[in-house]
Amino acid sequence: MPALFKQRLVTLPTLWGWLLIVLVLALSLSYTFKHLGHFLAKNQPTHGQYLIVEGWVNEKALSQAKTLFEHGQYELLITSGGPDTTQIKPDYPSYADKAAAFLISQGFDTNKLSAAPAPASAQNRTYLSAVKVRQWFESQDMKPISFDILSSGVHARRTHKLYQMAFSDTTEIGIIALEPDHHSLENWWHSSDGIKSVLAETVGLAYSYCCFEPGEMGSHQELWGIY
Amino acid sequence: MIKRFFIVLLSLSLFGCNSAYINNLVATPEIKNIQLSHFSVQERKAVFTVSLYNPNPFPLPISAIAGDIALNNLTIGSLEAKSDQNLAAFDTQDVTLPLSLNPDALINAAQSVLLQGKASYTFNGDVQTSLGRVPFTKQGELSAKEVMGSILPSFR
Repeated sequence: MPALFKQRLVTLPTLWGWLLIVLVLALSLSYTFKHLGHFLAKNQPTHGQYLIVEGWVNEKALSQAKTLFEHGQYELLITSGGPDTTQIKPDYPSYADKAAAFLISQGFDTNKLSAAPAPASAQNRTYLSAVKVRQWFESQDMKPISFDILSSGVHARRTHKLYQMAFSDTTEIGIIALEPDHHSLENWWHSSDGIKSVLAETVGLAYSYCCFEPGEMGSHQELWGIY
Repeated sequence: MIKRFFIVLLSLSLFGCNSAYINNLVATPEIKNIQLSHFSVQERKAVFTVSLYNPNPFPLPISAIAGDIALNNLTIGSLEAKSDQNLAAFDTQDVTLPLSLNPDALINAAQSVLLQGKASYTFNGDVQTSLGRVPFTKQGELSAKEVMGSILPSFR
C-alpha cells in the first residue's frame, strides 16, 4: 500500500516574527481605518464645462454648489436624482427638481440651470442618475468634454466611479466631495452616522468594482437592471 | 442646409422647454393682504403692512422693498430700502414698508384735498425676492378733515 502521509518541514515565525507580523497588520489596518473617510470622500475636480449636482445633498451643500458655480468657469449647472422615497407626499417628483427649485429660490440664474430627473429604480440609483444625465446631454445634442460632479462626503468616490461607468472614456469626469454635516472625515468612527455612512459606502464601492455590471450603453439593462 | 436649420430649431425648442420646465419648479409669492397700518402727517410717516405668502417649500430671501404713496394723485412719500428678511416656507409673513412723507409735497396735496374735499391715496410698491419682483397696489380714502387738520393746525 502506498504511503498516504509524509512528514514535511514547515517554517513558522518565531514569537518575535509573529509579533512583527501582527504589528505590521495592525499598523496597516489602523492606517486604512483612519484614512477611509478621506479615501471615500474623493476630491479630484477637473474644473470642466459643467457642474452636476447630486440632488439629494442638503440645502447647505446646494448653497455651496451655487457659490462654487458662481466663482468657477462652469457654463451650466445640472441637478440629478430620482424620487425622494423617504416622504409620503414629497413636494417635488425628484431630488433633481427639488434641488433645482431650491437653487432658483436662492436667486440662481435659471438660464444656467437644468434638471435631469431620474425615475424610481430598484437598481443602483446613482448609476441611473448618471445615465439620465448622459441622456439629458444627448437630448440637447451636447457632447461634454469634461464636467465635475458635486457630491457629499463619503458617497463621492462611488458616485465618481458610477459616472465613469455611465459615460464614455472621452469625457473627463471630476468629483468634488463636500464635507459631511453629521460626522468628520478625520474621526468618522466617533459618530454612529459616520460609522453607518463609511461602512455602507465601503461595501457599495466594493460592489461597484467587483459585481456591478450595468450592461451595454443604451441597453434596457443599463436603465432597469436584470429582473 | 435644411437639416442644419431643423437641428438648430430643435435645439432652441428644447432649450425653451427646459427653461419653462425649470421656471415652473418655483412659484412667485402671493399677496394676501395690504393694510395702511399707520399714517401720521406730524411724524411724516405712512406705514403699510403687506402680507406675503410663500408657496414654496424653501425660505425665500427678500433683498429690497420699495414703494410710493400718492394723495389725490400727488406723490407725497416714497421708500427704497434693502432688506435681509426671509419669507418662511409655506407661510404667510408680514412685511412692513415705512414710507417717509415729503413736507413740501404734503402742502401741495393739502391744497388738492381742500379743493376736492377728499383724500384718496394710492400706494404702489414692490418686494424684491430671489424669484423676482412682487408688485402690489392699494387704494383707499383718508379723512380729508384729519389730513387738513394735521397739515394746517388752524383748519381743525
